Amino acid sequence: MLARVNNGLDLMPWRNLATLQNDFLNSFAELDDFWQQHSYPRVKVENGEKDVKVSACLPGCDEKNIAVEIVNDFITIKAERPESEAKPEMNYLRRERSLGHYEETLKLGAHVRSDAARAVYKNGMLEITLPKAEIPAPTRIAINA
Amino acid sequence: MNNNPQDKTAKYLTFTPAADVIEQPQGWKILIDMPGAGEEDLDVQLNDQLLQIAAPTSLTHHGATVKYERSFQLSDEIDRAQIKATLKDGVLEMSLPKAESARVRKIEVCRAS
Repeated sequence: MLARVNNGLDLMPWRNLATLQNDFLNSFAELDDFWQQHSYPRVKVENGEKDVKVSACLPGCDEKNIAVEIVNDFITIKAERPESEAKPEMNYLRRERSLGHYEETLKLGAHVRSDAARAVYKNGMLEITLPKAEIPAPTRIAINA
Repeated sequence: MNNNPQDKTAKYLTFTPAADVIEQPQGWKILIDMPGAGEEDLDVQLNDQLLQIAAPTSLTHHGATVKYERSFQLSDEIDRAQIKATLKDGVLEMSLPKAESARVRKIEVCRAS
């Protein structure tokens, strides 16, 4: 899954790329209104006041098969639903569920304290709460004449 | 029941969950992915041949509570009294065994003497 290039459209060359990327990713928003009737978003990132909440739909997983990694402002969720569930003697009349490997990397909207993160897996939903880090005070640099 | 997701005043937002229907020699199996649904609120009803599954969740989307709903038309070969359902980790597993009378009975063919 693509993570967006910095939203700040400051530098001229990157502005075109960011606009192009936003247009591309936003074109799926129109489809969203249609698909909304059929499926809940796979992953949701909610930027709250004190923390960032990430909720992912991972039905039928074993907690041991779920991995959550945080690097700087990016969170990666990996989960496995073994293909062995689909045994050969099963005759599928209808197959809509997906099995196998799931991996998604998202950009969090704010700096978070990964050491204070909490992840809970309940009823097939993975809920991760990440407290926001305090924005460090600016450091003044003295100018030496 | 309001199915229009654009209506922000709707209390419930109904989604159709993904389902697998598997046929096995002894009957059928239905697996439905319903993340966020718990056992306590699961509602499964069988009216005549229509199996209706409904599960509200504690999830919200655009200010409305998310609810899963799906129905299946069942064959009359199914032994209704033996239908079982379990909901674990957001996956509903239903087993619908075939009635004895509907099971395929192999008849041996003997050579005429």
